[in-house]
Amino acid sequence: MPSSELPVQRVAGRILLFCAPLLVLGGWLERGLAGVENSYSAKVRGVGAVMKDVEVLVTGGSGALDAIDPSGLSVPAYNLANASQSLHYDCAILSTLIEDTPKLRAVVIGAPLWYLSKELKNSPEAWRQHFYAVFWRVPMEDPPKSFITIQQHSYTALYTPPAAMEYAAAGFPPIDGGLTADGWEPLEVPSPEVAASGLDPIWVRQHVAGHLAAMRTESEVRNLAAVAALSERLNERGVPLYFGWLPVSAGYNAEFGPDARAHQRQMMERLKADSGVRLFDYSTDPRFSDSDFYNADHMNRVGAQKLTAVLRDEVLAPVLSPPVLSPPVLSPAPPTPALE
Amino acid sequence: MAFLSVDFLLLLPFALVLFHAVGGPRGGLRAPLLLAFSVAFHATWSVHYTALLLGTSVATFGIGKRIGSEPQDAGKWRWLMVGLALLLGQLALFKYAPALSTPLASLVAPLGISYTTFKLVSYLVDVYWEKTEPETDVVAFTAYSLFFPQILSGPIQRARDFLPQLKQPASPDVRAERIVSGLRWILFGVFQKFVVADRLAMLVDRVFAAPQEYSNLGILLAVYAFAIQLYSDFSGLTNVAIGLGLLFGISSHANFDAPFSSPNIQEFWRRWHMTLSSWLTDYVFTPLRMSLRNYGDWGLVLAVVANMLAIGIWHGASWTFVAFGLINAMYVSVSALTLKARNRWFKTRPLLARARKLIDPVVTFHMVVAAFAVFRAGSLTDAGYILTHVLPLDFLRAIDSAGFSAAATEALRGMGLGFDKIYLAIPAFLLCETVVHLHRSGALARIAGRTPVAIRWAGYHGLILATLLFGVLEVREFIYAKF
Amino acid sequence: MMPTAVLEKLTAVFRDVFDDDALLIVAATTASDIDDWDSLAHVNLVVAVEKAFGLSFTTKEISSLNNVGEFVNLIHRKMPPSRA
Repeated sequence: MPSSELPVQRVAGRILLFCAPLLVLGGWLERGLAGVENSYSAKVRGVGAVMKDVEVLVTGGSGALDAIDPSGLSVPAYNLANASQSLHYDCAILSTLIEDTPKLRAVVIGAPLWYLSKELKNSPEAWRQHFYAVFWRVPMEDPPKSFITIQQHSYTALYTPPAAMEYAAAGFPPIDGGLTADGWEPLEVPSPEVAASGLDPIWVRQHVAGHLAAMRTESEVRNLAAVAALSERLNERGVPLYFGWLPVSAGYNAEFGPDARAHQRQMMERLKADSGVRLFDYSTDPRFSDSDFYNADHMNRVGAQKLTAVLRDEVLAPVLSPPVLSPPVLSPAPPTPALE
Repeated sequence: MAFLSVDFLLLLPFALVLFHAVGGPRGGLRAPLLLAFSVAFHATWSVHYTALLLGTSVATFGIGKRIGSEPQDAGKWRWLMVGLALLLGQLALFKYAPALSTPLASLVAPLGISYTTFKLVSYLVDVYWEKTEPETDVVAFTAYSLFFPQILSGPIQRARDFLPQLKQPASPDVRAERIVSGLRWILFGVFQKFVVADRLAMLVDRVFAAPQEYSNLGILLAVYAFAIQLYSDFSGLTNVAIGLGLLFGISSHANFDAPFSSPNIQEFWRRWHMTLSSWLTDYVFTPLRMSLRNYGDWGLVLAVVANMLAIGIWHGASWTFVAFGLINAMYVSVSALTLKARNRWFKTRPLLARARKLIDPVVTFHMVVAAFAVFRAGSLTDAGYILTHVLPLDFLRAIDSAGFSAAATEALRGMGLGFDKIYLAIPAFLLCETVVHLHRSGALARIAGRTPVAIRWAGYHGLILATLLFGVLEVREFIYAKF
Repeated sequence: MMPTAVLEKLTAVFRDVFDDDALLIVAATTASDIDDWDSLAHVNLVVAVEKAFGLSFTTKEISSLNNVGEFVNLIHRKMPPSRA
């Protein structure tokens, strides 16, 4: 550049100098945040540690995260579920693990009633998609619209700058919120007031309305395809895929309504017929009462251990007990297991 | 690509380095470089529309030359009409056809068609009025027309202001100064937009979407908040646009001049969206008023109504925009027609005249807030509801019976908002207005001149951190409070 | 009419339009120099000048004016030569 451009060059130099402290701060933040354990990184690490031995993988949304305790399944198991997770991410995560889990014998998707119509991108927590991209390295439900998705290249952006600086101020603590070593998030038995508000009809109505509003027909098409594809891959290895409804409160069932329920049921029957998916349904099982719930669609610690035992004995028994060819298990209405 | 996006932020330094490294010493390359950047920017939105805008610009360029070369006024006038028909017809097609006819309902307007149209119309009329020579360099002209910093929200710069700057390269000293100045404008605009405007949007959007679900207090707060939000958003964006222009060596006129401290409504419209107001004054109001000048006060009212309606419907085809235009037409007409009488009345009452200086801006501000509430409402019915429910009598009664803090807590809970999310916008807004007023009076330059560089830089760093910490960069809702 | 006489008469018109008997204008005066001289007052001013001098202006002529001096020149140009 000719020397007459000196003033502009000087300004360029000053700009770089100005940015230096910000870059140093940014670098320090990034390094600190990279070491922070969140629920996603904890699960990546957790399942990675047991890949060679794990026999049952459980996944789903926050319902499954809280309701299934892998240590109660009597074989090595891991809970891959997470808050607001959707079938797209369940299948994507499982796809990355199928090849490297030689001892895998069953996969269980513990779903809420509306799961087949749900995609994370339609949820208020759609930002969680970036965490899947960064930690699980799976593609998002839709490809990102911008050329650079800053949340996937910077931890500060991923957690948002205010949260990032909060963690920095607290010394970059782990934030995986009470996960056990095998991925379960137990919820303590709530106090009577908390329990009451979790089952409060007005709250339940709003909650269900939110779920109904986020359901989409186009999501159903994609979810069915994803589950069918997963089932096919698992069948090649002789691993059965179980898909079923976790317990929910009577109030939740009432608000969800019989029509929506029938539609979901119809889709599940298609999965069973076309792809050999094994179904179960504990959504109206009388063995689970109010005292087993934390709120209308999440189980507390006691309820979770109860459900895990039921899953172990009724759903997974044919697979976990010494090899016996047995037909698929479906939801029992009376206390004694009925096989279909 | 939007300005305030990561993609743009990452590409900008490269464009700048290229522009100053190549276009600095070789001034003749500045216009082609700016044109290339603008075309590329446009093309990220739509390649077809970029071609359309380019075509329109070249056509206008040609028409401008024709107007200049026609010997007779009749010929000039004819070419002017051709140009205006093309430009305004295209604008009307994109803006209003979707609302008025279903076959074209899915037509989406090209990015920046309003601002481009205004720039091109002003050019043609200026050539006709012989205020500017017809441009002979088509590259420079299209660079003016598609200039990317001004495409999203102005300012509407006149060709006779832009083209000389583009064609006579400023000295490196001036360019260096403009780069620094531009960065300051951008930082300020970004702070305004993210910390003030987007924060207030959280309250405003909720209440205006369903005003019937909120208490009078909520509506009152939302109405005030909207005026501040609109100003901060728009002012922020145009400040960023001005700053970007400066980075590339182009100085343009400011778009806002502390409008909320205007003493009357005419003055407000001269300080709000100034480049649009001056465009309308020069190309709509004055010509219309001139042809109606022999009809006395009715001529004035008609011209004002046309001007204000234009401002209203320029925003889009909606009855609330029409109502907004008519309300302001009424404001301005009444104020203009009674100004002389009011001034005379106050001349004989010096004490009241002094009080007037303080009360006038407050009254004007409230007139503006009311009109903006109509503008923002989802429908005329909503607007009516909002304007008739701004007296928080229930809140005042609650204060009476339960005391202020109890009433306030209950009210906030009723609004379903963490007010702590919103209140940060207020000190941020006051800070911005302080800066604006210091800048207007020249005090800012003096203070900055006396402050050592390290302190100034620390201030800028502080602003950047404040924007990151308090700015609503990404709206995230949490159902489960965990990561 | 000579330009200085035009300026004198114009000053009288300005004083009447802006209601200020002490108002002084020079060739370099522009709209920003007088408080109430906005686009609304501008056309009132034009109307008053037209009445006072018996002339008629086009929008094109008016919009090309940048200060009082140019206005004086415009008036002087348009006035019939016989007037003194």
